[in-house]
Formats: sequence, structure tokens, C-alpha cells
Amino acid sequence: MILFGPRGSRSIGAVLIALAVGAAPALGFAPKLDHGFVSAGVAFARPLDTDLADLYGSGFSPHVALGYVLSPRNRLDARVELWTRTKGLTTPIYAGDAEGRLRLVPISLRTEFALPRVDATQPFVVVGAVALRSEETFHYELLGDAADRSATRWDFGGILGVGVRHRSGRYTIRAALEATVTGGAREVLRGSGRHDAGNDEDRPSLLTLGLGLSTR
Amino acid sequence: MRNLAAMSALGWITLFMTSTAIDVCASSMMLSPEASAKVEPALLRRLAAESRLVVVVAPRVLLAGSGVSLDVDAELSRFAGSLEATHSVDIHGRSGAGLQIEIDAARFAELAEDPSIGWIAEPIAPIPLAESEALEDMRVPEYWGLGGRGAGVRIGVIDVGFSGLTERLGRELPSAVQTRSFYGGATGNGDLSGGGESHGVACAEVVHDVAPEAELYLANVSSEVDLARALDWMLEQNVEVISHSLAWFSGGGDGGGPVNEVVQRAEEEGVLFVTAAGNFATSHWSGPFRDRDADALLEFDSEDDESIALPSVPSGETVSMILTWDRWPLSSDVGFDVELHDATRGRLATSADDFGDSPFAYRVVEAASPGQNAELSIQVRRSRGTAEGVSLRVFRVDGGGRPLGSHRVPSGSLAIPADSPHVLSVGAFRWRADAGAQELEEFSSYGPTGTGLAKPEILGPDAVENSVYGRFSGTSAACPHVAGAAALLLSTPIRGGLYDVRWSLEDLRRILNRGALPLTDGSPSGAAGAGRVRLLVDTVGFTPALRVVENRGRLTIALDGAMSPAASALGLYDIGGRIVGRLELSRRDPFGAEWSTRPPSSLVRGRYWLLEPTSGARASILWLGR
Repeated sequence: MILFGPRGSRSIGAVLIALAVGAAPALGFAPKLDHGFVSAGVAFARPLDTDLADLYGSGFSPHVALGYVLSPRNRLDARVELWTRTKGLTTPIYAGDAEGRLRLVPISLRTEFALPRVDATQPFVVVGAVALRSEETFHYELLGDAADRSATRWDFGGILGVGVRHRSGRYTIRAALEATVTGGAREVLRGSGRHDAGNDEDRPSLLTLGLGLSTR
Repeated sequence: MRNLAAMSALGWITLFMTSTAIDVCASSMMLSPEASAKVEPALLRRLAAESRLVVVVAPRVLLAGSGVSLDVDAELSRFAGSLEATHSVDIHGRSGAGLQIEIDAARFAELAEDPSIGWIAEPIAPIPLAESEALEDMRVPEYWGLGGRGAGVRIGVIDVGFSGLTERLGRELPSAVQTRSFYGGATGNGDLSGGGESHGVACAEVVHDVAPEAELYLANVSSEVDLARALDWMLEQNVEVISHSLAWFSGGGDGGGPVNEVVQRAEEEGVLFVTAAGNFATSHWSGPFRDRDADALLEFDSEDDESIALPSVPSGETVSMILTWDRWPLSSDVGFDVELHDATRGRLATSADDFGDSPFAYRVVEAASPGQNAELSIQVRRSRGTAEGVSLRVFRVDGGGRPLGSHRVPSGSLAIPADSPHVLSVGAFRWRADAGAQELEEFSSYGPTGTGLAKPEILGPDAVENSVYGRFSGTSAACPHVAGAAALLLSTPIRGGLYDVRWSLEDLRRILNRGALPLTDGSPSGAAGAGRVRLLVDTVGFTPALRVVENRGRLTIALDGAMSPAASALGLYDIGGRIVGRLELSRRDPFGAEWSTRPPSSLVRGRYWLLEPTSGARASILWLGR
């Protein structure tokens, strides 16, 4: 599994993803239209970080992907997911209510490697690289006035999972348990909008149990 | 043995009697000469006042000096077992070559007579460190209880010098602080003591008193360039609050000038720049240039008085005046000089000697006082250009701002950068244990600024205990109290999933403003800002209510609910803010407090208002007359 550092090596992660995408044709996978597929699905996702999970809980995460079947045992796809949760937040006693919304958008490049088939079902492992955009928005009341603040950032990491898929004609149904693990840590969002590293290690990593349908 | 048995019996009996009886039992008078000889005299004196004692006892065998090598740990272990079995003591732990134990005073005599004990002493107490007494009034301990102690917040202290820093680390200051010296143009490695000045340490100590878990970043400066460098360094270090108890004079009092340009950058970077308002309310004059007799001398009032009298100071002490005017950055069109005069000796000094025809709107004149009998005064002379429409400011800065003898103009006396809209300016109120007696320091500078801005925004306490000065007075002391309070607020963020959301500068200002309590001393309008700094530790909107008990014949006001302490007196104010009477505390118990007075017949019927300064409760009342 590839893990990248929280900040300085983010750009390295981005470069690697770009290289992976760009490298597929160069490695001899001449694209054929009938080898491409699109897929969509939904996963039930829970943050891997305990604090994050305690605060925002679990929720559904839809995704779409564009893929390419490299070989009967190997397929590549680029996926975008969206996971959004909204929760009330704890505030100092003199402040009013506060609400937080966390939106995670993992954009991943992944490869599925087929394992020995079991009847009509194809087990596989999936590995990949992910760039995860997180946006946390805060709405709070202070002394009678409302205020909104938000911060976004990118974290990079890897994906590891196992799943099964079943093909029926043009359609493939797919179920997988995946861990999206990124770097990154809790940060301090200052009044100026700047955010800096904090003391804790809350990471926007996700554990997902997903179901998807793809078609060629 | 008979004595011992008798004392022991008496001890048991006296447990059921008054403490005085217990004292008699435990007093040294009951000890044998041998026992008395091994009890520390100070402890003997304390026996009469305690029913339970914490003492250090050392075994005789360790004190004997027999020359036999002993295993101290083993001896103390044996000794502890013996004490527990024989004297029913609670053993707290090892203290040097003895044990700290706790015992009923009634059984002390029995303990002292034990021949295995060689010495009994009081535990060695640490020396209490100086700590601002105003913390409780600011509700700082309550805020600590909410979890805000400044952790994770970096506070910068900018000052002239930090002499005496090292010996206070781990005591009045955190055990580790970050420092840089830009003093004298240095690039971070200059003289941190600033030539032996310890003012910065005093300020840092106050910050640490208020926000003990905040990280301190200390930098000393001696010029505006140094200040800019210090700010750059603090921005690099992600400092979020800066405490600045310095006064600059490079500006016209209208928020302009080079120093104000530096502090504006702090705000732009999201840093709360907290600065002292200045101590010049009694040592300042300001006004437009007027010269009706056209002799080039400024007339300080409408009666054409051309000099400001200065109370004399002892012979040899320096008298120092600063003149500035509102022509920044360059005063190419007009120039002035300030002159120091003595009635008998004539002119003692003029700023022209040091400044010539400087293009900067800044002059200083200094001279040694001829003596107590001197009749000192200053004059301001136009040296070039047309002075029409120029606004001037004069400060006396010797002795930290000794009062002027005449023509004092308290308003507009703000030091720079307290006149900047980009800083939080802090005036000073004199801390008193009785919240009702808190009053604005007479010297505390206030606005409006040259642009009409009301300043300071808030007051901090001064005249508080400090390891550097003993009593730390002035807005220099008030400023770090407020900076520390801001750090506490920052240390209680909204905790999101990936971010701790710190309050914005605007949020901080509003929280501090809402928490502040107005002074009830009838201070001049605008001099006290929102009032004395106080942290919000209640639910928003909760303000204890004052209740009118009687408003005819006598005026009695009650504040229900447990509260402590309550002010010893409440001021009664008319609608114009003038104090017209006082209500004395007549009852205080767990159920609340009550204040009462019989107003004079001259108090006309009508509406008045009251403020209970401890709780912040206020009420508008209708007085129905006698």
C-alpha cells in the first residue's frame, strides 16, 4: 500500500497518479473501445479514524467510474466518490449552536487483479492510489450572529480492498470492501482562513463497503 | 511513661471537646524537655493552631552520626513500619532522610516522646510565586475549568528587554520559551536583555499567569525596523496573539505612521495585536496649532497661554518631552521645535539642538532638572512653514509619564499603535479585591483618535503582583492580561472532524467586548471602552437579575442566587451616568445578596440604574421618593 506524507509530498502523489493514468497506454494497453466500461454504485462508508467516525458517523457514498479492461484478469478504473455528513458540533459554553459538514471526495486510480474464479463469481483484490479532497464547512452562532467558515485540502494515499464481481452480458455487478487510507492530520483553522497542522492525527481515511454496477 | 499515658488519655478525651482543649493537649507545654528539644521551634508554635499536623520526622539512627554505614532506604522502611504500628500516623512519603507524616495533634506529644525519633520538623514549603491577583476577577480560573488554559496557542510578547528571563523559566514563566532579539538592528541574535531592561519579562509573566499552557514567543526591539522584523518572525512561527506593552510616537495619533503600518500587517495575517493604550492621560496635550499673536509660539488654550507648566522634579533627574504632529511620513511643509524653560534660568534645551530641521514630525527635548525649586515649562515653536490646520501632540515621558502641571488634555492621549484600527487597545483599571472599588487609572490613555475612533476597546487590570516589579502598574500590565484572555478563548475552539476552528479576530473582539463589565466609577466617556476584561463562562444571555425590593423611603436591591463575592457597595447612577448615591451591602448569604440605602430627599423621583460589578447584573429602577 502506498502512503504519502501529509503535506510536502502531496504533489508527489499527484504526479504518481498522473503518471499511472498516462502510463497505461504506453505500457502496451492500446485502448479498444469495447474494453472500456463505465460504472456507478454506492458504498456504505465509515471513517477509519475513530474520532472522525464518532463525530460524523457513517453514511452512503455514491461513486462513478470510467474503466478499462486490460486483460481478463486485470482491469483499471478511475473513480470519483462523494461522502458527505452533517453533524452538530460542540462549542464553548458562551457560543451558540454549531454545525459541521464534512465532504470527502476521493478520486482514485485503481487496478483490480482477479483471483481464481468461484463458479460464475470472480473474486479480486483492488489496489490503487487516491487523491482525497476534503472540505469541512462550519456554521456557528456567536453572540447572536451567524458565521460560516470552511476549509479544503488534498490528502494522498492508497486503496486496498477485496471484492467479488459477477458478469452477466454487458453488465457486471460488483461488491467490494475497501480501505482508503490517506495521510493528513487534524489542523487548526485560524480566523484568517489559514490552516496549519495541529496536534492530533485525525485522518480523512475511509472504510467502504460498496456495491456497483458497470456496463461496457 | 506515666506522663505519656496521661497525655494519651487526655488526647482521646479532648477529641470530644473544643479545639482549644485539643490545643492545650498538643502544646509544647505538655512535652518533656527531651521531646521539646527535638521538635523544630516553629512547629512548636504552630501546634496550638492545628488539630491535624503534617510534619517530617527523621529517625534517630540516621541522625546519630555514629559513623556506621546505614542503608537509608531500609532504615526508613523499618522506621515507617514502626511509626504506623505505634502512632497510627498516615505516611505521605519520604522527605530527604525522613518521612512526611500526618498525625492528629492530640497524638503529637506521644510521637515526640518516641525515642526512635531524632527530629520533627515542618515540611519545607515552596516559596509562593508572584501571580496576578486579578485572575479571579477576570474569571480566568473558571475558564480554565472549561478546559481553556491556552494549550496549542502561541502568544508573542514584543518588548524592549527581557533581562532576568532565564531565572524565571519554569517558575513565573514556562520552562521553555522561544526568543529572538532584534534589538539594535540585530537579526534575531542581539541583546535579549535590551541593555538590562526587564519590562518584557514582567509582561510575559502576566501572559503566563493568565494562559499557563500557551507557548510564549519573546522578541525585543528598539526601532520600527526591529518591530517589523520581530513581527515577521512571529508570523513565521504561527503566533496568534501578540502582546505589545510599548509606546511609540512616530505618528500623528490618527492611526498612521510607520509603526501602524507594521501592526496592520499583523491583522492582515490574522494575528490579534493587543497593545497598551499608554499612560499619558495626565501627561498629554493635543490640539490644533494656533498663534493669534503671530510670534510663532503655539498657544495652548483660548487665553493664548504659550507654555505648559511642568511640576518640578529632583535635581539631576531628566525631564523629557515629545512633540509630534499629523504630518507622516514626511513633514516637508512645516516644522516645529519644543523647548524646555526654567523661569529663572531661561531656556534649558530645545529639540532644535538634536533634530535640526528634520523632515519627520517628531521632536524630543530633554534636560536635567535644575532642582525642586525650578519652575519648568515648555513651549512649542513653529520653525518653518505654514502651520494652519496642523494638529500637534505633546507628551511628557519622563518617569513613565509624569503629569503636566497645566493644559492636560486626557482625551486623544493614546500612544502609538493604540490609535490604530487594526489593534486591540487596552486601558488600565486599578485592580481591587472589592469589585465595586475598581476604577479607571487616571493616567490610562484614551481616544478618540485623530480619525474619531473610540479607544481603548477594553480595560485590563493593573497594580497586580509581579515578580519583576512587586506591583506591576500601568497599561503595560493591563495589556498582557487581555492578550492572555484572548489566548484562552483561542484555546477553546469549535472542534470539527478535521479542523479545530479558532475564533476569528472579529469573533475575539466580540467575545471580549460582551464579557467586559463597565466600570462604575464615572470614568470619562470613552475612556474605559467596553469595560474591564472578563471572560464569558456563562451561557449566552444569562445575566443574573437585580430585583427591586423597595423603592420608596428606602432603596433596597436584591440579587438572588448563590454568588461570591458580592460587591460591598453598588453605585446608583442617573441617566447621564453620574453617580448619585451608593447602596451598601446589607446581606450576603448562600441565597444571594442585598444592598440598601436611604437616599437623600434631594434625590428626585425618576429612573436610575445600578450595576453589580461582580456578577455584571444591572437594573434600571424607578425611585418613588421619600
